[in-house]
Amino acid sequence: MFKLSSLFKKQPVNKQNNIPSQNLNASLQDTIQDVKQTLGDSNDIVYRPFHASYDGSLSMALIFTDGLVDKNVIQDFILRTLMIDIRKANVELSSKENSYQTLKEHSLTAGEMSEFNTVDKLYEHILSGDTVILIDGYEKAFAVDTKGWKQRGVEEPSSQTSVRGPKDGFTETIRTNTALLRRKIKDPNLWIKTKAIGKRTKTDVSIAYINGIADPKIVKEVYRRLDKINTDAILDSGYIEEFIQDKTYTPFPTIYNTERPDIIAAGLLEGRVAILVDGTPFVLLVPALFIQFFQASEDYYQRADFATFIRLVRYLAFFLSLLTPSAYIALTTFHQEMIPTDLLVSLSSQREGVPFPAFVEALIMELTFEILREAGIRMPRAVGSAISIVGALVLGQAAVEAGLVSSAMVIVVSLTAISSFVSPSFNMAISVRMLRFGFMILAATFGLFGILIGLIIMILHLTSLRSFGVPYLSPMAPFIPKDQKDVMLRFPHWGLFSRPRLINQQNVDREDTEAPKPSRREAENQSVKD
Amino acid sequence: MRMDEKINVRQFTLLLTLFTIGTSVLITPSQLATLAKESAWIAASMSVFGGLLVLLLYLFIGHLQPHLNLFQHNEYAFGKWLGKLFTLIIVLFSLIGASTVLWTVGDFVIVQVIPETPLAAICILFMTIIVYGTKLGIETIVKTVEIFFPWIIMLLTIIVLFSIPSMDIKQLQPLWGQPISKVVEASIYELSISTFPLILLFVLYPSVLNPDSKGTRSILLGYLFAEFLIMSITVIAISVLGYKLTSHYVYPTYVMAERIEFIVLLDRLEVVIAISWILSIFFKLFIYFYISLIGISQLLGLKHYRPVTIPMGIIVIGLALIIYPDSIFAGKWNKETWVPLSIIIGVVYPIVLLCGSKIKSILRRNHRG
Amino acid sequence: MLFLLIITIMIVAWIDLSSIFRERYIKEGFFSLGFYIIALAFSIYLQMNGKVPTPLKGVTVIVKPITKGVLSILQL
Repeated sequence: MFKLSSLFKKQPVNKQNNIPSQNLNASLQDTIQDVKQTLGDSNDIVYRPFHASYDGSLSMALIFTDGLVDKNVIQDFILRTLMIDIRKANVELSSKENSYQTLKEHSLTAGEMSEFNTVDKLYEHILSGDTVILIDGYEKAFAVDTKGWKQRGVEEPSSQTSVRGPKDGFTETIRTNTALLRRKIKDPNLWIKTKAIGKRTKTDVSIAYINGIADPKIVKEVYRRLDKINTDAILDSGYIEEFIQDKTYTPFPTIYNTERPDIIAAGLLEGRVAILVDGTPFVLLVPALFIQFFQASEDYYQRADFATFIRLVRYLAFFLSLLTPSAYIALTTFHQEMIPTDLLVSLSSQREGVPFPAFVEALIMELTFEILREAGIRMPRAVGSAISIVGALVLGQAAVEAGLVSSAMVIVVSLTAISSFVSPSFNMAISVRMLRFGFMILAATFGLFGILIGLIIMILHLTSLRSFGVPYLSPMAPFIPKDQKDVMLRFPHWGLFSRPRLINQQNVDREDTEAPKPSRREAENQSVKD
Repeated sequence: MRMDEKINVRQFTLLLTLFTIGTSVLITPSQLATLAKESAWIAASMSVFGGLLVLLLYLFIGHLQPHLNLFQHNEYAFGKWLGKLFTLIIVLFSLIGASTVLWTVGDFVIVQVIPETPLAAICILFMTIIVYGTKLGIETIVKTVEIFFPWIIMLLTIIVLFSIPSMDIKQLQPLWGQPISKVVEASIYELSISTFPLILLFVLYPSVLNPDSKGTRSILLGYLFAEFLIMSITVIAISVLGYKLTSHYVYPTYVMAERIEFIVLLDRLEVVIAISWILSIFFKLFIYFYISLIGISQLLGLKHYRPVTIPMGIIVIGLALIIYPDSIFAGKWNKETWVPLSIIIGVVYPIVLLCGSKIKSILRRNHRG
Repeated sequence: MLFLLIITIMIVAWIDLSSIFRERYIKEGFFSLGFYIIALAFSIYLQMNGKVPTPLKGVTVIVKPITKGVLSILQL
């Protein structure tokens, strides 16, 4: 019998082509031959045999990947050292036992170096941009860190911009990203640990947290979930996100991602755990709560009162983009008596020539807009202006003039669209875009009652979610009075004296700054002037 | 059946408040006006005191065996088989409660919000979300309560505040125009809708964290708040509409909200009351349904209530469709049978349980000693 | 309509029960199955018969004499 679940059943993972973890061969020639065979004679792998020492008794070879290494480093600090400086220094390399030790401890002038003795390590080093130094007659080898490839510099993040605040963004290189974090938090307790995930891509994934602030249980849970990943490729942090999130079948994101180092730094300081993935500028932050998707980093750089106002606007925009089309459908289809008479008259005169019921009208317009938006993202930059002309003129104005849709509907769609762009986080905007259609169907069948039912279902679902064990809707449900100072409102910084409760439970106090007051003398001067 | 999900005192209090408000806000003013006429508000205020006494009784029972839920307490006090019989009665009572509440939602929606919709469609939709919520568990529900509670209260407060300009104190006079027996009858009616079913909520009591004396106080405060809200809604309904009109409508609060004309934009405030009422009745229905599920799993010795949730949901939908032939029958039944029934469950049964439990404890102590 | 009803309940029951049994809740699963059969029979019965008397009448029959008895005692 056919079972639905068989679609998702895992096939046993294909084990062939895996490099056995055996020890290195002592013979240099054999090793190079093996490497050549395994790597299929790939052109970008460079083999450089040479002799170090006077008599040429010590034959060695470098293996590295062209393009991943900094050739200057290899020339200046490896080849020059081993071939020229070593002779000047008159180092004794003749006896087999001490030459290896001498090389390691006295000769190689590279900064980061490691020693290994297995074949799988050999390939790992070669392919990640290290230079491997093989010495004839030894079952061990060196790997010198010579990584250096063309990379994008630190630029302004493209997905989350800000008016005020730092303008640097993460890049595709994990080292740069960790450096950006270190530059912001110079605390010995900022711990960054790296592990490679992906059997083929061997992507570096770093877990960063501040020891003593982050909840050890959450850190442990992050490690546990990362250890469970058994896949062959990690190309973006999105892969990691899907592997470690609490619940797959939910429209709401339970892991936060951002390009902005300041958001990650702030998250670390609140006790969250960051997961950096090599090859993508998007860094993950867990646990992620619902309210987090409504907090922009700029809220904390602007004045507190303004930030509060903007935040309230954001929540309003969330509900507008979620409910405007469905409310329009419900009102025009079921509850005309609720619309003020004047408005009703003008609405119905507009809708007179429109051949579709309100639901179909709304569905057509919303779908059209979604298509436009997707086209706007994927199309080549050069045709951008064409799209906006088509969108604004043809689909908006012309559709109304042709009597296909009412102009009120165009306003509704525009309002929805604009509101959905307000969200500081793209993930939350996506979930709203999807949920909107569900609400439209409910509104078309049950009117306002349907919308209310939809809201209850949504809230039920939201309260049932957890992100790494922390209730998704906290601190609203469960209600935590102490944490309300950074939910709808944003207290001044001297008022944000404690960290969010459920995220870290051991180190809650953040600061102890008093509210700024004019000093007594100033106050007296003031009163004298008055 | 273990109660392994934990809720805190505040969440329990909010649940209790919503359970008390539940159907009462919309339905009781009408019946109170029928029974006690212009003295309905006196009846409502009297029921506050009666209700407090009853609630104290429940709390006392809850504290007698703090680790046992009501159903386990039954078996402790009366032995296995008699206890199971009591449990069965409570389960049937909450099933009746669930289906009548579901019918009320359906009736309200098709009468006031979206006419010409089949009752079955509304019932199925509403029960679906109840079943969904029940499957998610009590912890999720109480968190949802925390989200919705401020909104429900805010919306009801808006109604109360905006109705004040259209109040007419003359409608409440004469002060003692009705015989005391009628007023008492009305207040017992009010209690039968709002307070006596609260005994069901005490099935959850063992899962409440730290129900100490401070917790007791906040529970009582929550109850007082709910009763105060019901009272003020009654006063306003009667003083705005007059007792004749109030008793004439099935949902007088809704009609009253329709009359509010405060600001031009806000002239259709009845939606506000519909929303807040549907939200609060959601939780009332959930409690009835959840308690019946817990009772069933206790009776059958199931490890968890979740496996029987969906089939019971279908049965409740079926029951709701036939439970009241029409709203006239509903009103009559509420007056004639529901009142004595809920007195039996909400007053007689707790007293019997209290005595049984006490006797059992004394017997045990003597046995040991 | 009747057909649709039966199919819907059966599909829901199938999905629900299979997940219950997968989690090794054997006893619970059988009771659940029992309740599904009751629910199915009940809804078929409701669908076939137009006017079904309300079960509340039965409750009234039980409660009424008790009330009367209590009231008469109180009046005495």
